[in-house]
Amino acid sequence: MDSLTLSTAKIANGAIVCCECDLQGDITIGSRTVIHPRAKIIALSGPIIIGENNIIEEQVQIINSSETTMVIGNNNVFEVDCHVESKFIGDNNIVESKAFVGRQTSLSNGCVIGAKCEVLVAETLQEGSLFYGAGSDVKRRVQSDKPSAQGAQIEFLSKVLPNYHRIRKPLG
Amino acid sequence: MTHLFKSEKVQYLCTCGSLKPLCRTYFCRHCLALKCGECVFHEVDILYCSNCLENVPPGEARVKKNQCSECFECPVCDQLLLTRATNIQIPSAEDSSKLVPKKMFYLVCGFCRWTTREAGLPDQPSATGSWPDSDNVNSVRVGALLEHYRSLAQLDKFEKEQKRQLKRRSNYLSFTADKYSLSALAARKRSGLPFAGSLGMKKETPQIYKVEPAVASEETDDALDPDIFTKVLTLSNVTTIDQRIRQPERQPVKSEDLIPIHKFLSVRRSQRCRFCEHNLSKPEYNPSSIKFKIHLGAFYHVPDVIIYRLARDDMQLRLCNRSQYPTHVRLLSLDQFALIAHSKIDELERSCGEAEKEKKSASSMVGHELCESPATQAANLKSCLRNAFKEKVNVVLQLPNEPILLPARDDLAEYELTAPQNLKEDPKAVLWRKGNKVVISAPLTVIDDELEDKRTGFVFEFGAVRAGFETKEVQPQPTNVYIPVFISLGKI
Repeated sequence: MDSLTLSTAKIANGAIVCCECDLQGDITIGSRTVIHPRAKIIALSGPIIIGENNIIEEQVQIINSSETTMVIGNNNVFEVDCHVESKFIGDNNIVESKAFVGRQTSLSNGCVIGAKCEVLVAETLQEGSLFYGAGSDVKRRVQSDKPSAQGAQIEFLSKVLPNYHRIRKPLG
Repeated sequence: MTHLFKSEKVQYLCTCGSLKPLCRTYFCRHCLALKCGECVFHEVDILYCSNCLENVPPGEARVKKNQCSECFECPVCDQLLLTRATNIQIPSAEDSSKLVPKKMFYLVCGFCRWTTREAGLPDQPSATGSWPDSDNVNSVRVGALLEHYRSLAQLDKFEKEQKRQLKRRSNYLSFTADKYSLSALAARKRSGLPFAGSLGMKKETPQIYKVEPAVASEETDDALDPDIFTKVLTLSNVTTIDQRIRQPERQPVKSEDLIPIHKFLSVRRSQRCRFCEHNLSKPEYNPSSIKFKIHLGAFYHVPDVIIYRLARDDMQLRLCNRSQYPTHVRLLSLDQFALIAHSKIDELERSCGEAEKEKKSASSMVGHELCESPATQAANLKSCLRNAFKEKVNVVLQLPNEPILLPARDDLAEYELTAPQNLKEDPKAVLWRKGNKVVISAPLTVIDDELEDKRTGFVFEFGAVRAGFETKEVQPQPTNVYIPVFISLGKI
């Protein structure tokens, strides 16, 4: 339980970060971002900067194992049990459940990594690209419909999560 | 994925000679033999859509090309398409200046997020039944060709019918016409005139539907776009071969031409014994029901053998009887089975000779008689012997000799605390008994140590009641059924 140790995460006002999530290292979290309990954000060697309006669900592992900064933009959704090591993630992306995004991949805007897809390709993904399939048999295509914003979900979570979990106090 | 009963270690020998686990076989209660999926007839019972569970009669299915009219599949990834609604503002019917929300529907794939908007299909105002069908460019030509060949087939049939009439007629006439002076017809035949419509035959021969022969041309419709040599190809705009072939009428080359495909209907099948033509498995009519009208799985009729404990020189087997009748089980080694089988075959062949004296041939017997006839039983035993000895066995078991009683399955037995009956059994052979389960001990002797994978086999003899005899007065007598069982022990 991390509520006893002093965490060095810089949490902006308005962000909902549950106490039971595992934050290690130099992490900055933007406002209105919701981090569910049991998420793991581990900045091993380099810092992690998370933007605004993101949803990071349970069992998500966001790990920065290199020394450069890892930047995550706004309005992203990280669904349950996904594993992200990518250095740069733009806005409006969705990483679905149990997906794996490798260290050399960078997501631009509006990308969707489908459930259980392993994306290890060393490139910056085109805007709106979509990966689907299972495991290593992953196919890609570009979609024209951008994923919709999660504003309603974030509002709902902001009201409900504090009723059931302890929330870390934002600094500043 | 492991399964509770689908053990690949203990396999039963089916009548066709293949080894299957017990839960994959059927037990024909007329032939008293195991039948597996490969030696039964599979018949189409009903056609239904696996999404909307709608029953489709076969005639209607043929018209709709075996596709469901309401459910669609994604052309990109072959998953089911879900209907989603959006609200748009349109001017209302009464007052064109006021905007009212209206629900418009579009289809989206849950797996790859393909939507009908990507194909350029406009959102539909109604949730079901209004998505446009693919138009077949060649449908007119294909229809004309079909008509042509259908008329050819009709002409063939007519000519064959005529020839048959002629042949039959000629015999008939030659025997009877001159005798009984059916002279009008005889006169017509002699004069060579064709028959009048006295038998309801049509006067005019069917016409052949004329169709234009196809003209070969050098240019084809689906020529490669010359831009492919000059412009950079974006792979996401081009369909894969799988996607193209899934819609054979249109075969779109560009991704934006992909439209939703109607979902294909699934088949519910029923199984029928090949020999006696009785049904082994017949599902209910309702597609959403998982029950069966007839369900003769071997799991419920033949006692089940499981390896209970296995050591280098000792094995314990658990036998479980899941049928409604108690049965006496005997485990025979393959040699013992051979002796018993040979003596039985001789006995049956003797009685077979007597049955022939009563002039009953195999072709005239149906159903019960066929299954019970000595000739059939002898043939079954012979093939069973032959199949059993084809399997290689390198471990020998020492099996208990006396018959072991296996009580019937009794669901109430769990709640009864009475001790099992006092049976005179060798305590070294029968180790443990509870309800309808018995554990017996079978010490092993390895006879051939060359191969690492050890296999052993024995023949299961148990009493089964032949179907068709259940009357209230007479308790049906069980007949002995022999089923070879082979166990792969792996490395011991």
